[in-house]
Amino acid sequence: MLAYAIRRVLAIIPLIFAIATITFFLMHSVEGGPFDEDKPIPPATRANLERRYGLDDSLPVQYVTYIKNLASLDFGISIANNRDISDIIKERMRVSVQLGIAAFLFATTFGLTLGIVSSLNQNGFGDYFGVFVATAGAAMPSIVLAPLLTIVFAVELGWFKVLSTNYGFTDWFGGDFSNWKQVILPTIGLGFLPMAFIARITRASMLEVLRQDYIRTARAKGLEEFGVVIRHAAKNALIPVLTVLGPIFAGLITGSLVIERLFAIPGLGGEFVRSVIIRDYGLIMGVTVFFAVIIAFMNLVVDLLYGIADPRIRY
Amino acid sequence: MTNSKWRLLLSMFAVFAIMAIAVACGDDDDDNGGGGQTPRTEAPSGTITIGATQFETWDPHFSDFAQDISHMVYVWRGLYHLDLNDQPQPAMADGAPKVSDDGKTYTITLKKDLKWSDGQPLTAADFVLGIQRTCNPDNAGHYQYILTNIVGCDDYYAAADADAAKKTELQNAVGVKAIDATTLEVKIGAAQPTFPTLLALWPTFPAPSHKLATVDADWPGPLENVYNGPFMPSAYTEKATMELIPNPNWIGGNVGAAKVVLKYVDDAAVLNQAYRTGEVDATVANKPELDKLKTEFANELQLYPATRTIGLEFNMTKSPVDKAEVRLALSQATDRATMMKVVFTDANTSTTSWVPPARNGLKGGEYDDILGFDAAKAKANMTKAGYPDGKGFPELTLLIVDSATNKLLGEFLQAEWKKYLGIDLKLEITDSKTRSSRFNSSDFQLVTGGWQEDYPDPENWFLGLWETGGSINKVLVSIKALDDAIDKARYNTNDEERRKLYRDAEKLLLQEANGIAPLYHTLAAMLVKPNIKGMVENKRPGDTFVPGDWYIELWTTSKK
Repeated sequence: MLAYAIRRVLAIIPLIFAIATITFFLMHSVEGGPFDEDKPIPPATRANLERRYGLDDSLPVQYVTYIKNLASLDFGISIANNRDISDIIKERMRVSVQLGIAAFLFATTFGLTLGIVSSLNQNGFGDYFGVFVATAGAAMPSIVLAPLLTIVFAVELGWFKVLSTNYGFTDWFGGDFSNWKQVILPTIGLGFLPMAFIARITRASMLEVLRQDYIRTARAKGLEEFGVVIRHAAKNALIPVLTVLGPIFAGLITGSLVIERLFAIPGLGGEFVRSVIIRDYGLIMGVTVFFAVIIAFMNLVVDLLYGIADPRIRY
Repeated sequence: MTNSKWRLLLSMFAVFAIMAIAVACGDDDDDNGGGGQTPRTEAPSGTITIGATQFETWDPHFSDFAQDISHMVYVWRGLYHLDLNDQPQPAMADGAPKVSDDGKTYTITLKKDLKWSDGQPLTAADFVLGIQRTCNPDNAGHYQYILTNIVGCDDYYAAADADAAKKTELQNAVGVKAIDATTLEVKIGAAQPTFPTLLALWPTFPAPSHKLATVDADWPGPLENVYNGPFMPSAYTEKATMELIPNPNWIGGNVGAAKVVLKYVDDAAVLNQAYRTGEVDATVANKPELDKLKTEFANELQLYPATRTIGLEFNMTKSPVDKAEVRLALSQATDRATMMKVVFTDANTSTTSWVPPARNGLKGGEYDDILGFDAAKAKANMTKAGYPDGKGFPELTLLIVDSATNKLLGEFLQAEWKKYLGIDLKLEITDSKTRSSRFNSSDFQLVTGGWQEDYPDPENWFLGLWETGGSINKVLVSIKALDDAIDKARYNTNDEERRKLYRDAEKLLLQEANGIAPLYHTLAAMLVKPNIKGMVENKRPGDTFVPGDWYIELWTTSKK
C-alpha cells in the first residue's frame, strides 16, 4: 500500500502543473483585468499598477515566472490587498476547515443514523421520517435553508447571532466555548445537503446488505441485533458511502460561498469567488492549485480507506 | 471497522442532540439596550458597533476605494479637514495656509506638539513623505492624478523605469519640503482654487517617517502602524472585525465613544438582519428591501443624496448614438419618474443634471426641457435623425453589469424605447470587470454608468472626463468649446467665475447629450439606532458606507 500511496502522491505533481497551466491561460483569456474598475483609472496609474504587480510582462514571461515561484511554493501577492497569498489561504482555510469539519461531522452523524434507522424500519414511521428529511435536504439548497435558519432562529427566536464574523473553534481547545452559538446555524446550513445525500446512500446500501445471506446467517447464529446491524451490515454497507465521503469532505472544508456570505464567515469559498470576480490573478491561481491538491489528496485517502473497509481490495 | 469506532460515531450523534436541546433552552445573553439616551460625558464611553465593508488596502497613499477611505479618516487626518459645508478647516495645520501672491506656494504651519499614537513627534517631514509616497511610481497610488499640479509629482510618477538614483532625484524635486519641524511648503504649477481641499484628502495624509525607512517601504498593517486621527486600531482580524479605541495623542480632545467595533460583512441583507437583532448599531440599508425598511425603521432609516450620478453613456464615435438627435430621442423617451418607482423602488432620485445640484449652485431640473421625458419630442428627434417610427434604426446594444436591478433597468428601457420610438434595444449582460474593460477600451455603443465624486467641487466632475483626449474620457467626447470652458475654469482663481464656467461646461455637455444623458443621482441609505448620536448629524454626501465617518470623534452612544 505504501508503494501505491507514493505513486499516487507523485502523480499529483504533473496534475497540479497541468491544472496551474490551464487555469493560468484560461484566467488571462477572460476579458477584463484587475485594474478595469467601474471608475476608470488614468493610463499613467494603470501602467504603474501593472508594473507593480508584474502584469506589464508578456504572458509567457508571466507564466514562466509564476511556475518558477509555484515550484518554490511562492503564490505571490494578492492584487486586491497586497498581502501574501499563502497567508490569505492559510487564514481563510483555517476558518473553512473548521466549518467544514463541523458540517462533515453533522452530515455523517445524522446522515448515517438516519440511513440506518430508515433501512431498519423500511416502510415504517422511521423510514418515512428519514426519507422525508433526506428528500427535504436534497430539495432545499443552502441559499434557501440558510436565510430560513437565520430568520427563524436568530431574528425571530433570538437563540443565535446572525453574524459569525469571529467564526472559529480555536478557543475551544483553551476551554473558551463562548462562541459556540456561532457554530450551530452555519453547520446545519452547510451540512444539511450532504447529510441528506449520505442518508439516502446509507439507506439504499443498508437495504441491499440486510437482504444478504450472511446477515441471515448471523441472525441464525443468535447474534444480537445491534451486533448484526453494526458489525455485519453497516460495515459492508459503508463501502459505497465511503466513496462519497472523501469528495464531500473535500467540498465542505474548501468553503462555501453561500454559507460564508449568509453567515458572514470569512472563509476560503467566498474569497475564491471574489478573486475571480475582481480578477485577482495571483489569488485565483493560489486557491485553484490549493483546492486541486486538497481534492487529489482526499481522493487518495478514500482509495486507501477502501482497503481498510474491504480487505478484498489490494493495491 | 471496530465496535469502538461505531460507538464513537453514535456518541457524536448524542453530542449533537444534546447541543440542539441546549440551544433550544438557551437564554439570549445579548441585551441590545433600550435605545435610551444618556448625556454625553467628557470621558469617552460606550461601544458603537458598525456593519462595515472590509477595506482593500490600509495605505492612504495607494488606495482609491470608498470603504478604505471611510476607514482612513477614523485613524488619520491631514493638514485640513472638510467641514459639513465641505470647506477645509484646520486639522493638523494651525490655521489657513499662507499663499504666495502668485498662488503657487503654500506655506502651512503645523499645530504645536503634534504626536503620533506611539508618542513620536509628528512633523512637517511626515507630510512631505506622505505626498512623496502618493507621487512615487513604485507605490502606484491611484489618486496621484489629483496631485498632478504639485511641482514634479507627475515627473516622479512617470519615472517607473528610472534607476534608483534618478528616482531619488525626482523624489527630492517634488514641490513639497519641510522648512522646519512645524512648517511645510508646497509648490504647485498653477494657482488652483481647490488645492486647500486636496490638502484635506487621504493622498496628502502624513506618513510616519520614523516607521518608514524609504519612500517605497511597505506601509505597516493596522496593528503595526501609528496614527494621528481620533481613533486607532486595538484589534483586527481581516474579513471579520476591527476594534478602534481612542488615540491618546489625538490633538482634538476627548472623543465620544470608548470603543468602535467594525464588523466586516459583504451582504447588506445579512447586515440588516444583524441590525434587527441589535448586533450592529449602524449599517448600510439593503436597498432592495427599502420599502419594507421604510415602514419597519421609519425613524432610523436615513436616506440622503450621495454625490453619484448615473446615466446613459453614449460612445460618441459609434453609430447610431454618434447622432445628437438619436441621443436626445433616447433620453427623451425615458420616463425617469416611472423608472425610479419601477426599477429602483425610490432608492435613487431622477435627474437630467450631471453635477449634483448641491455642487454647482443650481436647483436641479435645468435640463429637463432638453433631456427629460417627452414622447413627442423623442419621436420628432428620431424622425429628424432619419429613423421615423424606428424604421431603419441600426442595432443598438446596451452593455450592462449582471445584477437583478440592472436587468430590470435594461428591460424597462427596452419597453420604453419600443413603445415611444419603435426601436429594439439589445441587452449585453456581462460581469463587472468585462463591462469595465469594454468601457475602458471604448468598445461599446451604450452603457449605464457615471461618476462618484472624489472631492467636493464641480472641478472633479469634469477634469479628465470630458476634455478631448481626457485620461478617463472613454465616451470619446470632443467639443472644442467644452475643452475651452474646462481649461479656463481649472486655474481660474475667481471662484464665482470658475463655478460659472463649470456650469457653462455642463450645459455644453448636456445640450446634445454629449456622451451622457443623466438618469439619476443615487441616494445613500443607512440604518442608525436612536442611541447613536453624531453619525446622522454629521453625515456628508460622500458618506456612502457609514454616515458621519469624517466625524467619528463626535459619535456617542447611550448603550454601555
